[in-house]
Amino acid sequence: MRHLSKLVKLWAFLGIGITLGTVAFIFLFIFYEGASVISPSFILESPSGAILGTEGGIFPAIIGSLFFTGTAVAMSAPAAVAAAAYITFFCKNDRMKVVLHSVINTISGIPSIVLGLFAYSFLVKSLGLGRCILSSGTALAVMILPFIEIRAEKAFGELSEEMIRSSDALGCSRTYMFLKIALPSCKRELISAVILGGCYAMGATPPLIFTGAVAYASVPESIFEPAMALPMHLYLLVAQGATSMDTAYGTAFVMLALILILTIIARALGGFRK
Amino acid sequence: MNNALTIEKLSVSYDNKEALKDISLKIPEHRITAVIGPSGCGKSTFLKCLNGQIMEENARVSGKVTLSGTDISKLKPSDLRRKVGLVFQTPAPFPMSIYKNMTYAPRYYGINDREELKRTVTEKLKLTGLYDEVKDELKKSAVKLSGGQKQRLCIARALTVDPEVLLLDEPCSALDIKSTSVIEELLLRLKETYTIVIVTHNLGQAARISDMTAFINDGRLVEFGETGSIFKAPEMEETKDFITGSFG
Ligand SMILES: Nc1ncnc2c1ncn2[C@@H]1O[C@H](COP(=O)(O)OP(=O)(O)OP(=O)(O)O)[C@@H](O)[C@H]1O
Ligand SMILES: [Mg+2]
Repeated sequence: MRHLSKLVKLWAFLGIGITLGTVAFIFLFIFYEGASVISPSFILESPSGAILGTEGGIFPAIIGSLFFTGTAVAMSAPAAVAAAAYITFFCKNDRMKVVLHSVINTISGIPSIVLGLFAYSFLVKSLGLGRCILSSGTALAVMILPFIEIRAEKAFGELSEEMIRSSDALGCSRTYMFLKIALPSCKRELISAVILGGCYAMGATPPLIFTGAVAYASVPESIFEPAMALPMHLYLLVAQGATSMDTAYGTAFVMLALILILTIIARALGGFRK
Repeated sequence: MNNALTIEKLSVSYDNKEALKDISLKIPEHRITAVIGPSGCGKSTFLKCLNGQIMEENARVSGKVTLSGTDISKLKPSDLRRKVGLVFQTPAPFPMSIYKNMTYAPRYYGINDREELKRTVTEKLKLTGLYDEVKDELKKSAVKLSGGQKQRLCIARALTVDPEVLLLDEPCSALDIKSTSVIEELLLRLKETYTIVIVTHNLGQAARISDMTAFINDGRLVEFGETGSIFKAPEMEETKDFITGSFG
C-alpha cells in the first residue's frame, strides 16, 4: 500500500511536471523564435513582399482577429449566460435539464470545421451574407457557446441553495433574484468565462477558412466585410514554406502574447476570489 | 384565542412515498408553536406546506390550509410568501451589505422612498436586537457578520415584508449556545407581533420557548397540545418515548 501511494504521488508529480514543462517549452520556443521579427512596424504595418507576408507587418490580422473574436463573443456570451441561468434558476423540469445538457454537450463535440462548413453553406451562400466577419463570427459563436455556458453554469451552481430559497421565501421572483444576487455575485466568473471563450475563438482557424478570413485585406471597417485573421495568416505563412518562417513565428508570438495576457486577466478576475 | 393557521387533513407524498399523513391542527395567533420529531419525519415538509413552497416541488398535496380565514391555495404564491415568512437552518445572508439585505424584498414590492426604506431597516433590525450591534456599519457586507448575527439578520429580513406568520426550520442548529439563547429571547419578543412556528431538534428549546408543541412521527401527527402538558404528561406512549430519549 505504501509503495502504491508513493507511485501515485510520483505519477501526479510527473504529470504536473510534463504539463508545465510542455507549456513552458512551447511558449519559450515561440517567443525565442519570434522575438527577432517583433518590432513596432511588424505590429503596426500591413503585410507586404513579393510573396505576401515575408515583409511588412500583421496589423490588419491583429485587428481582424479582434473583430472576429468580438463578434463571436457578442453573439455567444448573452446566449450562453441566459442558457446557464435558465438551467440553474428557472427550469423546474429535470428531464428538460437533461435534454439541454445533452444538446450543449453535442454542440461542444461538433468539429469546428463542420461549423465552418455550416456557416459557409447557410450564412455565406443560402442567406447571401457572403464571406464576412459576421458569417465567421457566427460559426465561432456556436463553437464557444458550450465553453462559456459550462463555466457560467458552474458559477451559478455555486451560489448557496438556501440563499436562493430565502429569496423565494420572501416572495421575490427568480428574475429579481437573478438580477440582484446571481449576476452581481458571479460577475467576475462570468467575465472570466467570456474572456477565456474569446481566447478559444481567437485561436481557431477552421470556422474562418471558407466564411470570412482572407489572405489579404485592409483593416476591416464593419462586420459585413471579410478580414485577415492571425491564425489564418499564420497558416498561410507556414504553408508558403521557408521564405516566411520568421514572420510566421512573429505572428505566433503576437497571438500567444494576446492570449496569454487575456488569460491572465481572466484568471485574475475569476480565479483569485477567496 | 384566534387561530392564525388551520390545517385540515393535510397529506403530502413525494413520488408515491407519503411524507405527511392526514394532519389536522390549529396554530394559535401570537404564540410559538414548536414542531418536534425524529429526522425525516416530515417537519420541513410541514413548513413547506404552510408557505406554499411545496407546490414548487414534485409532490402530491391534499387537504386544506387556511390563513386567517383564507384558503392559501386561493392566494397568489407571492402574496402567500409575504404573509408567511420562512427562515432556514443555515443562515443565508445575501452577498451584499446589511442594508441591502434588508431592502431587497421591500424594493421588490415597489418601495423606493429612501426614508421609508430606512425606517423599515431600522425598525426590523431593532426588533431583532441587531440594530445596536450594526448601526454604524450598515454598509458592511452581511457575509462578514458572525453566525448568530447572520441568523438574526435573516430573521429581520424575513420581517421586512411584514408577515403574519414566521416559520423557522431549525434556526439554531448551526449556532453556539450563546447565539441560540439570544435567538430564543428574540423569538419570545417577536411573538407579541407575529405567530411563530419553529421546527427544532432541541427538545430543551421547544420546552423553553414554545406555548404549543406538535409531535410528528413518520408523517403522522402523534400529539398536539400545550407545551407544558406534552412535556410533563404526554398522552401517548410514543410521545413519552421520544421526549425521554428512549426513542428508536
Ligand atoms: N423534495 C423531495 N423529494 C422527495 N422526497 C423528499 C423531498 N423532500 C423530503 N422528502 C422525503 O420526505 C420525508 C420527510 O422529509 P422532511 O425534510 O420533511 O423531514 P424532516 O423532518 O424535516 O427531517 P430533518 O429533521 O432531517 O430535517 C423524508 O423521508 C424525505 O426523504
Ligand atoms: Mg428538516
